[in-house]
This record gives sequence, structure tokens and C-alpha cells, in this order.
Amino acid sequence: MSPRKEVPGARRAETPCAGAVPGAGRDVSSGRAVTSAPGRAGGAMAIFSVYVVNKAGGLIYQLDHYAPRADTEKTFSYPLDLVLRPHDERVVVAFGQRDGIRVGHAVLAINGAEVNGRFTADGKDVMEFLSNPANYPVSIRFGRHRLSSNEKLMLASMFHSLFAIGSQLSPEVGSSGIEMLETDTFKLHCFQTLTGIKFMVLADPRQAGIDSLLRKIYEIYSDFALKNPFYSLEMPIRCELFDQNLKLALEVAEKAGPFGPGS
Amino acid sequence: MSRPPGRKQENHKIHFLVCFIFDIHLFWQSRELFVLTYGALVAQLCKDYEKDEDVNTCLDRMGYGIGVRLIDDFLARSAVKKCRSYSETADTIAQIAFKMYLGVTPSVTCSSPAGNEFSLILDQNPLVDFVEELPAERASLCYCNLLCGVIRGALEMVHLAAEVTFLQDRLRGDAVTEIGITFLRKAEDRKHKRNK
Repeated sequence: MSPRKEVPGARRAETPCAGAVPGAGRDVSSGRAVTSAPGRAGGAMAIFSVYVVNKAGGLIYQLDHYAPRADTEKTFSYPLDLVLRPHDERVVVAFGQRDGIRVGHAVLAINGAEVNGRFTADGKDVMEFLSNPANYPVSIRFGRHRLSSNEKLMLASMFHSLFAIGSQLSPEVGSSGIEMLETDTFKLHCFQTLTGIKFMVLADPRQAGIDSLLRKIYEIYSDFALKNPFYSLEMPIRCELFDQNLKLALEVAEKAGPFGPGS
Repeated sequence: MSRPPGRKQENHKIHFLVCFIFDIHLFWQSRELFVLTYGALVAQLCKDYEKDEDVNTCLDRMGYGIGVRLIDDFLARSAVKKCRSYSETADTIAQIAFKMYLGVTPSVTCSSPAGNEFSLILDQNPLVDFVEELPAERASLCYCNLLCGVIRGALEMVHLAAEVTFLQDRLRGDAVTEIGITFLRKAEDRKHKRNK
């Protein structure tokens, strides 16, 4: 597989040109696209996150190692040409995608202050704030909403159930559960130990060496979590040494890139 | 002693778990330290409890706590595959696990026609390197009962219930040291859980 020479973040955010003539003069100033993905040149592979799920399906450890974020911040004048609507606990863009602001992106900050769900930092409702002409011009930052820890817990439990369903669907007896889940933007690799703990790694689809990384994470877990006498089994892992060694292992695996051993 | 015995036991447990688990890895370098630590533990337990059964139970319980954690270390380092039968399991324990942690390889025999009772016969037991024989008032002490607990705890984490006891013990005057493992119920045929 030939390594692609492009920055992964660039695939997601279209940076607006500095001198572009805005549509109908709605932008007061040309937008500043903030790409917060760390600059990685050519053939950059990434491991996005690691999840550890206990026997009962509860998430006991989660690490976001690299989250490609493309936030876009722009200043707007009244009336706003994007259609916003509340969704769950956030305000998302429903229509009017342009310039790096996509449908589904959530309002992350208004005038530099991070919003708190559907309310601004001061406690005002975001939708009301933005429908009042007196508050304009206003600078709004849009971006993909990061999962909250509750959402991660729910998703991990859901995956735990799907994993079991995977082994039941199998036409052969004694099949393993789901080992890999592939999408166009990431691959989820899952390794279940013989004691029932699952280690999941979300990585770039081209990243190789994840199998050996999963074994390495198992070793790190058995060393720094299990051998810590103050760690209770099946409980959330809060061991500093485990964090440090895990991050080291992830960095080593990333450096190996797409030509590492195994897949 | 005015301190309640239960409290002392907790301190021992934590202290011992820390030492034991790290000692296992430095086994060949500091084997003596490991053996001495174990001896000190048994000696202290003998001071705390009058009855031999209490000491044995305590050792077994500590061993259980170690076993439930050690199993993952064993599986991570040895990368054994799922065992498909009790005899494979007993062989794995004797040939891989004992070798890895204690440096000895007991021999395995099956001692029941049903195929669920096994004996591990230890020629050498590093834990009793410095012990000649038990004192007279401790005649029924199972000096290495910790090992039984470890095996029991480890098997339980891979969903195999077992009873593990010392059938014969050189320290008590028998000819050999023999650990008996009795697998309690037939391992259920659950896809990814049946093991070791």
C-alpha cells in the first residue's frame, strides 16, 4: 500500500481562501479557519483512541490519542445564513453548509467563549442569542462535537453486545467475536482476552501493526494495572504508570507506520 | 495481642501482594529474596493464628487474590491458545505456568477415569528451599498453600471452577509433593469463554 502524501486533517476541512469573495456579503471578515490537527507531513498514520472494556461490558479506560479536529471560526452579521437547530444537548448546523462548516457540525464557541451545550457561557440560550440582531456581529466556532464520557460509556457497552452477537451469528461453532470494524475513515480493532477483557483500538485504516499493539496493550495492562495492589479488578483504571506506558506504546506503533508487522 | 487479627491480615495481604508479584519477575536474580519473603509471611501468619486450618485458609485466600491477577500476566506473556480439554489445561499449568513463575516443571498424571482430576507432582519446590520440616505444633500446616490459591484463582478467571489442594507434602513427611486439581463441572461450551 503506498503511503498517501497528505495531511489527514486536510481531507476534512476545506480551508477558505484568504481572498475569497464571500457569498452575499454575510461574512463581516474573511473567516479564519482553525485547523487544530497537529501538522503531520506525508504518510502520517494515526492511532485515534484506545478503549478497554471489562467483562461486564463497562468501559474501564479510554484514551483519545489523536483527534483530527477541524474547527472553523467565522464572524457573521445578521441574519445568519446557516440554519441551526437544537439536537440532543447541542446546537447543530442543519442546512447551509459552506466554507468548512458542514451539516452536523455543532456550535462550539460564541465570541471566543465555549458554549455549554445549548447555552452560552453566560447562561443564555444559544438559539435566542443568535436570533437577536443586537448581538451581531458575532464570531461563532463550528466543529465536530467530541463524544462526552457518558456517550463513550454507552457506545462501549453497545459494542460489547455487538461483539457477542458477532460470535453468535457465525455459521461455525466456537467463533470469536467481532475483530475488526472498518469504515472509510477509521478501523476499529478489537482483541478479547481469554479472561474476557476487551481492548479496542481505533486507528487510521492504513495503520499496520495493530495486532501486536493490542498484545502489547494487554501486557501493559497486566503489568501496570493488575499488579498495582490498589487497583480493584473490573474498576476504571486510574494508574499513572499505565497511562504513560500506553502512550509510549502508541507512539512506537505509530512510527512503524503502514509497513509494520502484522496488520 | 491487642490488635484485631483481621486488621493485621489486611496489611500482610497488601504488603505480600506487592512483594510477591514483583518478585516473580526478578525470580532468577533475587530468588532468595522471594523465598525468604514467603517464609516470613508464613511465619507471621503462624504467629497470628493458632490453628493450622486458619493459616491454610488465609494462605489460600491470598493466593486466590494473586491468581486472579496473575492469569492475565501469564496469558499476555505466554500467548497460549484456548485449551480444549482439562488435560490440556493441566499440562499448560505444569509445563508453561510453573516453568515461567517458579522455574520447575511438575509432572502431570490424570487420577480419575472421568478425566477431571489431575495431580501435579513436584520434584523440586523452590518455596521450601530453606525449610527442612514443619515444627511439631504445626503438623498439618500446608506451607505452600498459596500455590493452591493461585491456581484456583487463575482457573476461575478463565471460567473453570476447580478445587486445588495438597494431596501429599514432603514437609509433612510424605514421599513427594503432590498438588491435586479437581475440575468441578464440565466447562460449558460457551464460545469465547471456555479456557485454560
